[in-house]
Amino acid sequence: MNGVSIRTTDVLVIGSGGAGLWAAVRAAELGARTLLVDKGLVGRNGNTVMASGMTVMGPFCIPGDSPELLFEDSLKGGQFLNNRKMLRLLIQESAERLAELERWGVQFDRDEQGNYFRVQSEGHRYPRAATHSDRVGLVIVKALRRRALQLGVQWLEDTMVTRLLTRDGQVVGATAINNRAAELVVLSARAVILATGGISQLFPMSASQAPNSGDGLAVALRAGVPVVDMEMIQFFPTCLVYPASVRGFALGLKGKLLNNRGERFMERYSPEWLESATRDVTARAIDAEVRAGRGTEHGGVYKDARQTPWRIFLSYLDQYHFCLKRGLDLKRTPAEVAPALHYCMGGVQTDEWGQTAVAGLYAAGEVAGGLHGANRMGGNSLADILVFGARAGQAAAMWAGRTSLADPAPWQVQEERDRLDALLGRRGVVRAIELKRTIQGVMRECAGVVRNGPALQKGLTQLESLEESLSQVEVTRRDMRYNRELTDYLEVENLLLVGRAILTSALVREESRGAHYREDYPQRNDTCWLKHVQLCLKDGHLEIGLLPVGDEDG
Amino acid sequence: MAKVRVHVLRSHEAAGSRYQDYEVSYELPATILDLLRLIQQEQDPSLGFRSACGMGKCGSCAVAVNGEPVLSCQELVTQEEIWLEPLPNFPVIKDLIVDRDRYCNNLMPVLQQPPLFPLVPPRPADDPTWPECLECLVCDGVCPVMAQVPERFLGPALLAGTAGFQKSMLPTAWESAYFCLLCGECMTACPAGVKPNDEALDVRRQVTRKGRLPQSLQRLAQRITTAHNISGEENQARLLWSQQADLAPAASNPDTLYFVGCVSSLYPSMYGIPQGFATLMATCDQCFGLLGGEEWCCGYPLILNGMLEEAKELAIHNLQRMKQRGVKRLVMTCPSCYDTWHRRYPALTGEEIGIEVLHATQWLAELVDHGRIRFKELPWKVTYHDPCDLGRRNETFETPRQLLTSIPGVVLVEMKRNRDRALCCGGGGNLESFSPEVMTAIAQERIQEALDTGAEALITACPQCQRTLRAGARSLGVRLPVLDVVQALWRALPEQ
Repeated sequence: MNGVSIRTTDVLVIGSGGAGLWAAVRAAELGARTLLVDKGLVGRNGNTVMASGMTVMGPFCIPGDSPELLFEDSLKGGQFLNNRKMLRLLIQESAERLAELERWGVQFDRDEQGNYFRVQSEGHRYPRAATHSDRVGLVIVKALRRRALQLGVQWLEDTMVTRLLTRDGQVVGATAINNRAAELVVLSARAVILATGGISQLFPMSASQAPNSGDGLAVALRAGVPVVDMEMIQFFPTCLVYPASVRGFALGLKGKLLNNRGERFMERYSPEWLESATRDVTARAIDAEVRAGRGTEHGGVYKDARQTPWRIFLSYLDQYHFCLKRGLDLKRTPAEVAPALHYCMGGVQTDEWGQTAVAGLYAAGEVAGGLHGANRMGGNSLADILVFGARAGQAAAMWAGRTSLADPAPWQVQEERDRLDALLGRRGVVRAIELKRTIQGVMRECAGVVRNGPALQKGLTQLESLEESLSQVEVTRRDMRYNRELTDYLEVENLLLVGRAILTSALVREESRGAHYREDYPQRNDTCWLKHVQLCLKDGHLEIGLLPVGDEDG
Repeated sequence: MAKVRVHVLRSHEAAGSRYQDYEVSYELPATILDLLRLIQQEQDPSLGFRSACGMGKCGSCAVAVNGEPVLSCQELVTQEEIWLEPLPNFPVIKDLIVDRDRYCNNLMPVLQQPPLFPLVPPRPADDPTWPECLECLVCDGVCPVMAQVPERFLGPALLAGTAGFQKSMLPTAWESAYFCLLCGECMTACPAGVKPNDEALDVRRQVTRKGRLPQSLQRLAQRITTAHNISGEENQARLLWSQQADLAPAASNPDTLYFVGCVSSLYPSMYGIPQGFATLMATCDQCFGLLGGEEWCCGYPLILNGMLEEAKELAIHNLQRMKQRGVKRLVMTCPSCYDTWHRRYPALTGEEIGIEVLHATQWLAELVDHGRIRFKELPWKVTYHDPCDLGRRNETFETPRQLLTSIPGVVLVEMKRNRDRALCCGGGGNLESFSPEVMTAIAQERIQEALDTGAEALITACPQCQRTLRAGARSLGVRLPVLDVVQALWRALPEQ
């Protein structure tokens, strides 16, 4: 292995989607030296860039709508598991963040009269999502990336964090592989913000091709930080199942859902909301139709947008052209869709400032848990990253201002160096990419839209046995420059740990709530289960804790 | 399932770069990115490339497919054999992964230049179809100037990505605006439909307004505004070509007028173009009038300088002469004059010009189609260079080619980059006045592409392209005749 280089900063931000970028921007605005690292390119690697709508409350609300109604909808959508304090802040502060984006030049869609154009997302009683054509995420990322450049935020791309460094119960930095420089780098910092997003790679069919592999969740767990609500995994109900090249593509465009008999089956599952029901309800309905033999040739149902008004198409224009190019004209032909992994509601346990259980360590965005409860509402995620990205950035900058820089413990660095050194050039009989596929298969079978106790238990046993084959994984090259096998191996380690956390939590929660549906416990049980499942990694085991909901309201 | 052979240009630090071959089976439809992922997962984990969202939003995955920079996630596989190379004009880190830092390094000073906001270019908020730059850098990858002077040129991505910003105060930005060839290749290549060219033109307007037009361009402008032509000669000299050719003067007031343009009228080495055109017309008894000394420069170089008011004066003069003579149809051998009359005069004057405007190749094609002109057998292997103003800007790609292949015996071969992806000759955007060295370097590149085809002659349809390409061939010391389509046709006329 080459040498180890050291980078020192006040605030280290890991991950550069919307949450990470906003955190970096806010920290830098407050005068903190800020370093942003990402395992790909800044702003481009995460999911934010693909987002198409942002829930915002403000003076420009649709008449009749109010922050209180959004609070109710979100709480109901999240099946009362949401962190209410954070939900209130989300609703309060999203308009400020929107105004800030506008000051920087972002122009959200408006009609000819100058009123904001709003799209109605699933579970919302009113249209609340501000749009920017089909590219609101892209534009937000662009503006944030430029703001970061303007403020002199440093960044390190193609750099994957492998471990958090702690000293006396306080975070002091992280180790990372810099693929470009082909070296291990020690990132020494006063404060660290995790913003690594979700778990796209954990399921075989994912609504995103982004390379998220729960890295932030895994490094946090290993650093002794608790996670909550990990059983709450959202499946985007209408993802393309065909053709293969676009499998998983999340089709947000509105349309009627039909089974192979032409029935608009949502009339049975959600007569009031139909296709606008929350994503958990629709995902289960589609799953049930397919299981009952009423699915399409490729195992989905039809999404029929032939009668959807053109103005709605305009908010999904890129999706429309994407499909058209691949031979699917949504104006003329219904698409075959089925649920695919979309979002992890669970995550690192934080307070409303992103503060985790370890001093100096913060988390924001999808990697953090609690805000969305048992089901995230459409558009609420963009609002989340803006509001809590900024909050984490502010809190981390303040913390950095009153903390002295502590050197990482040399033994921790040495340990990580030795571990990676032993991996490079290692012979083995298993390829990491194959392990990844096996893990994905286990998760689909055991932790999908419909779950049950025995399957979850079986999945856990399978993942545990896969952990044992980690030592058999081959990493052919010793060269660290974009060593795909090494990255795959490290991602597999993370996916295994996060997968175990999901299965463990799902097994504990013996009821059905939101995205978590147990066919052996099909009812919601408010008497016993208005609780968060909390997990903590101790000596390789996930320790379970139960936290009553509502305590955080203060 | 379909099969494809993929050749990937891979970097090997010690041994230099070489192509590595893979054979991939895939399910249709598939994108180039699908292939790369399949190769990395199934065959060769050491292959390096970038990707993330896979849906054309993140702009990470630009590569060159068969020489053309594209987003690999948006490019469908349509051929059985594919060559993949890293995005041109960027330093390679590994295989298809390039170093993109230059873009951010150039962007930072622009963003830090007051006023600090906006950070993203403004757009009409009620138009959801407005194109949004992905910062994927495909345009920088196709840009001919970026290939020559990356350290002095900010590149189309940055020009487009900072549209509406106060860039005219930054010397790097205004220098860049004049380096731009305005060739339009970036606009053709852009996966999001952004128009970097228009932005370069806009910066030129701002710089000119501040009185900072570079001196060489000031001199060009002065010649045009005083002598009404680009060379600064007595404007009566415009008819010299016809006197030399001893052509009979046309009828006094024909419906059709030939607008010869400055380059063909005033550079004796270009006289062959109007002479050839006139001869072709004479063989089929077509008459046309000429403005002679009353023809003023169409204004194109001034528009490129960002001097719209001055260009408008020329337009008004030329339009008045047309009206006085009752001209109904206007024909040009110069595509830049053609583009100016056809597309820019209405914008400059705010009204339709009310005259049919044709490029010579369009009129000639009509006559050949009707059998009015016939050619003798001429065994000749030629290649055709698309002028930007005729091809990309006015989408006339096939007409000149059909004219060439209407000559019995002519074999037309294509250069690597052709039609809407043709490399500019180097003479676009007034670059000849601003930086003749860069112009020549680009012309040399184009000459090399022509030589690679094994053609005996390089044919184009633009006097400026012809001059520039000849200069390129001369500077390379190669003997490759560069001719206009009309000259090629002239050569193929049966002897009287």
